[in-house]
Amino acid sequence: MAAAAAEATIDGGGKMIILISADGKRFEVTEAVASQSQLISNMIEDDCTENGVRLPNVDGDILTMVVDYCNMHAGDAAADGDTTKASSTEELKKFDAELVQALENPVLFKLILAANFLNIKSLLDMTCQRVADMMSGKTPEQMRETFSIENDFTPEEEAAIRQENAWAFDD
Amino acid sequence: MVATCNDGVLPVDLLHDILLRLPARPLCRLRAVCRPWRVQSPPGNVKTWHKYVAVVDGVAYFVLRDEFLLRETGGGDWITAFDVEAEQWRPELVGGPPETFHNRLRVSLAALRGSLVVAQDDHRAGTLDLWFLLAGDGGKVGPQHWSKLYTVTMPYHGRPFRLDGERAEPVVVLDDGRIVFWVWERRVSSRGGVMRVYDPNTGGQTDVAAEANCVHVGVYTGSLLRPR
Repeated sequence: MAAAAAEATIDGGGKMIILISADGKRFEVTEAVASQSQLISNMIEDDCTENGVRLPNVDGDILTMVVDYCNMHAGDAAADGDTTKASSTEELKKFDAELVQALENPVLFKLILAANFLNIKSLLDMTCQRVADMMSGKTPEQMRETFSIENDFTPEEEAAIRQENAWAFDD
Repeated sequence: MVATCNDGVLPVDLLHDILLRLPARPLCRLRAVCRPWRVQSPPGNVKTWHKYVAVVDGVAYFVLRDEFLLRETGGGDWITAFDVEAEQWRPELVGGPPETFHNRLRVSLAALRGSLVVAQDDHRAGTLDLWFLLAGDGGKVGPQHWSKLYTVTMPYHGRPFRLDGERAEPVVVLDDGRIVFWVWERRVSSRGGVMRVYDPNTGGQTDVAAEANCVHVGVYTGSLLRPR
């Protein structure tokens, strides 16, 4: 079945690929869309996507987001004729902003891990930047709160660390 | 590797990608959050100018902060080490050679003959001392681990010393023991410099090549037949 689907084509002429998430959900995407992942792009080149691509590190709900993102962005990378699908830059910016703003931390981190594993540079950039923005302008206490981290320093150690770069701690 | 992706905790492996996107202030604050974050982030304001970086045995060394700041704080440890293989900053800072922050010295880092080297450039005396880190790997490194193997007389033209004046940095020790220096001026009007070969046995110096519009020179260690 998967093999048959993999050989199916759509009107754009792109071959279809099946992505399979850790929990067994299947996603059918064009090669152009999937190739935004350097990992999958390499697999396509090596001709090993015939029976679908299993992604044991990526859950279905995360892969849904990744596929949405790749569908949206397929236009920037593959500018070969099919302009009807390519989204405008404005639209893309809005889509990207909404995607990362809405996420709870655990989901955001899973999305970063998926972007990292699949090697999708633009998605990794965007999600990491979101976390960097969350860190900026926060005190260590606020960072612990934001990222649910336990303080494992003794008060003396923490004081010494602050002393190291005292300039960074005064507001 | 400590891949902790259990519910809502930022995986430590990812911290690197995020650090690249942060300015100095949050970067320093990050070190005070928890232990795993501390070992992943650079201790302080790392200078990444070429002359302040050297890579020896898979460890990249960086100079912390400005030399003049160090002078005011009376020295202390001022070299930080990043383990390239483990992708972690070493928890301990490295103490430099003795008397580094005497008020007329300028320092640069180099990797010579497989050792970390601190070059102390003393303009007033017209000499450059090369200190080799010969022991003390792993534990706390302090002044006692450094050996001054060379004192090179540098015939500076531009004396008295100026901040944008001529400066010399060691590049490589040749198989026959001669040392190659990159001697250059920071002044914008005269960008460029010369490669100077120094023979420790005779004290002789030969300028071999002049380069314009160049501020740093490195050594290519790969095969010239297969440049990458």
